[in-house]
Amino acid sequence: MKKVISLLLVFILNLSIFVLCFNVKNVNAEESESNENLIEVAEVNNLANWEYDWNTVEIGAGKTSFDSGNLTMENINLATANYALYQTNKFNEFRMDMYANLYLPSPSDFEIEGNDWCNLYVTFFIDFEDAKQVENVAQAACPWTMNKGHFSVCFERIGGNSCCQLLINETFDGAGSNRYFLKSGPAKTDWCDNEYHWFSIVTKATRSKNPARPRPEEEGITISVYIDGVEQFSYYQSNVYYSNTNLQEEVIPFSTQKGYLGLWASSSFASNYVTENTGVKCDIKKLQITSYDDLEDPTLATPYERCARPEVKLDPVLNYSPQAYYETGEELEIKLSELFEYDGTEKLTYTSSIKGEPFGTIRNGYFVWTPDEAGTYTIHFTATDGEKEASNDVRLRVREPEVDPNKTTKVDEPTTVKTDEEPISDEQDSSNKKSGCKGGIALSILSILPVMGAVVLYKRKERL
Amino acid sequence: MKKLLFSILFVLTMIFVIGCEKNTEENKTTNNNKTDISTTNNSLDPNNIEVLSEYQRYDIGEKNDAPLIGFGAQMDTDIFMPWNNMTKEDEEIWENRIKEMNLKYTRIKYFPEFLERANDNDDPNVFDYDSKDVDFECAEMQALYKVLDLCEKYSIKVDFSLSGCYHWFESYDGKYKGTWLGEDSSSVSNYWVTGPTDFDEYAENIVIVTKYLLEVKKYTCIWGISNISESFFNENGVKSWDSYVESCRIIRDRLIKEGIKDKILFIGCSENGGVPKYYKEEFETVKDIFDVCCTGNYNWDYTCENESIRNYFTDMLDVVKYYGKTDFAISEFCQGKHFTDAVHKTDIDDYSAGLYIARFCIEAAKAGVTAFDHYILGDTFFTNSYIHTMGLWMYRDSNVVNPEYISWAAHPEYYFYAMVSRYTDRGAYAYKVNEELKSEYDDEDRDIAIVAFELLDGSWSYYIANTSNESKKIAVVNTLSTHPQQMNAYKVTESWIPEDRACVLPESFKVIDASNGVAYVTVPANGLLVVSNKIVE
Repeated sequence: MKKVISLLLVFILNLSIFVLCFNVKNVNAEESESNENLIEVAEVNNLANWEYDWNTVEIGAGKTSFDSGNLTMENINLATANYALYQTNKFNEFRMDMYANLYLPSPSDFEIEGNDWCNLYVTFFIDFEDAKQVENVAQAACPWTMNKGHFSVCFERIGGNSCCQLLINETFDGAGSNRYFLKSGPAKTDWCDNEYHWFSIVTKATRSKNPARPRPEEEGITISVYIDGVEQFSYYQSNVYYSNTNLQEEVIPFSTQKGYLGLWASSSFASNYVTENTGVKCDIKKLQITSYDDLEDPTLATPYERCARPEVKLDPVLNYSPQAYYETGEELEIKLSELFEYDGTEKLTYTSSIKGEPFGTIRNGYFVWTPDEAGTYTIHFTATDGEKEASNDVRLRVREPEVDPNKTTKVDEPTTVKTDEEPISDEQDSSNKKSGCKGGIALSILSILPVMGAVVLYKRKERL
Repeated sequence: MKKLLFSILFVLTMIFVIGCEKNTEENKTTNNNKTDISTTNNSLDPNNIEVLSEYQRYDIGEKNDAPLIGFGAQMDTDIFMPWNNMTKEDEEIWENRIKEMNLKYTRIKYFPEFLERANDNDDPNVFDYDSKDVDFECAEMQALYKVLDLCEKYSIKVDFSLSGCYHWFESYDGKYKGTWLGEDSSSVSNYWVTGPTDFDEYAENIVIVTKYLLEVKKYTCIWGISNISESFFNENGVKSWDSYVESCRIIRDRLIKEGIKDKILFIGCSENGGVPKYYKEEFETVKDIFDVCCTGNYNWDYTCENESIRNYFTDMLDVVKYYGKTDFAISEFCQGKHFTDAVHKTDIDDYSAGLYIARFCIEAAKAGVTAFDHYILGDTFFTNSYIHTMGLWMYRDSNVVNPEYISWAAHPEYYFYAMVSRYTDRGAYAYKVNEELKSEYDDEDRDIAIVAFELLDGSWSYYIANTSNESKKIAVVNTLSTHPQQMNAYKVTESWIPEDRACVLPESFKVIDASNGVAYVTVPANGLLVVSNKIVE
């Protein structure tokens, strides 16, 4: 009987543990799931997988892409830079909600030395006329590179702490690139756990006077940062700002100046550490921006929709005009991008043919050919980006050179001098190569002529 | 009759054999880059030379006053600082490229903190070599010696350049941080370098280190020193030319006092000369201090007309002549637009950047510039914090950036600049090359930039860049007694650029017969043509 009771107790205990574990697991799963849905982002508002809303710049091995379906920044180290600038709308008062896994460990999880910091800057009020100029992207998104980013929230991992910081970039007079911390310190939420979290930034205009520093017509902006719905800090910035650089009060034109939003990831990993061997990356699954500008009631604000997908055009340039004529024996090159109008981002693949047969060589985006016979050649060129295709027929006129001024000997097509690398082997038209012996034959045939003449004369003399 | 037929057959056979041999020899010569550089002894009369009508005639004209010091690129100590992790293989790659390019000039940045980590003593007139804060063997100085060793080995003339006080300095041994000699960061813009607070200490530092390099380390490659004005700020964070001039004067006096002024030149600064008129005014204040006129140039990009470059440098060289100086150095330059920040450019990998560099060098050399320092030699990890991507080749990780590339892959500028430096040499004289205009209404061909160099060994190199979409037929007429007989033709075009960006250079594709004083060439569209009889080992 005792045995039965013992077995029964063990069974009940096991069952309790099982049920407990199962429930806990389910709770975690629910938590995780509910976390993703903490903020609702409709597909049409999700900017994180819509490359057309962004202008990106990668420096060195930096990689900012949408290849995985998310906005990801990889290969984050001292030698690289990843910039992304939201380029579709400008705004002042806004809310940005970002569901992201910011895996920015410091120190490294793989015991890589020298990694003191890893971070992602979110910079806003970026004062550019046009965010579509690629040269503006880095200046805009990186607040200390140039002078266009006004405020930045920096999610930074330093010495094992997940920090959340607010910086003012002293750029209002357009003369500086100094940054000052308005808020710094560890975040209330540990966001660097290789999991997805919600990162929210809310800016709201405050038109009441700051009681601490009352001034006429003063206005300001309150910047609040949340992680998973937990407020990390809220900071009021008056439009009257005391510049640490210029040692004087300056006015920040909040009421009139609208800007873009930029992302910049960096770390102190050495240049040979990339995502492949560190795991470090920012993976942004959802990103939504809601502007409150010009709205009396902010609850009426709706998030920005994705921009329209640009129509990619791939057409032949029908009025392409080749050189008036080319000459036999001279290598000619035609830049194939000049034969087609294309506004997409893919690399085009080209072909060249005559009557269906491949003709000439395609090299580095150029059609390369050395004609050896005069005539008119109509060459059929095609271009494709993998989806769209276009063709263009180009007529080239080839003539014999009027004279051969150099009496030169054509040798092989250009090859390369080896320095420290293996030379490339250019694809060449073998028919263009002339051996020394052929040249010799030609020369000897020419040389025969006077001798033949002499023989004829001699024969005539003999007959006479 | 039989005898006659036998004789004819014998003659024909001999002619055939000679023909074959002659042609094979020509090919062999071309492939080995060993063109016969023998020259004729008689000048030709240009009036007796008529060129074929379909070729545009260009005549070798006036010879420049001063010979070339050299083409080169900046080699800073960072290259050999441990944070660049240069392996033996990496170092060999860099050295081979320096050799292949035939680099002959460079500038090296130097900061007082490299040697003097803290002030040696309070007396700027007496240097305490035994001070615990003076270190001739630290990592920073070792890196400097390594660069100088390379310069010594390849006869590269050095502009040893004092670059201000290193505000962000952190000694590699971790013992020193910041600058003892610079301005307090709170009083100046938070800039990476600042001006010195004590000009005497500043002068003491540069003169003592230069003396050490000349007399103890026995370097003969140091052509001169320069004092960069970029760092000179007054208390309001504004650049002060007057302070800079005062500092230079004190340095020059100290060089004289230490007895080394006659061993080196004082080279001007790279931070002036944006406008020739102002350059003339500024140089008035330093004409008795500087031996070499100097500027830096980031003025233009590929859209720039050749004429703009030509006019600018012609005006600048007028200033040089006005002050009786011989040499004019460009202490830093590259394609100067499209920067994303101070050290990155969006067009660094555009072919057009390379063609621009060729045009820039052609026009500048033709105007009389004698020393060229491209900023920088190769992409380098600077100050243990970021990479400068302004080099002739990319950083080691270029094969990560693009799997099709090799490690240390070339930027397009490499192919052009390497051709410019490879087929010139120190001591070469640049010649103007004048296009023949058929009437007073005729206009010069604005797509063509052309210069000729006569090298010390008697060989000639012609550089012709063509920015049009059409090839150009050109006849270069050289009637001088030293005119070349046969020349090799090399070309750089976009289609030729290796897809893996290997640092290789084009081989001769044609031999040009210039024995009658005329070299007939076809310059490729949007390309550079180099015609030379220089023998390159």
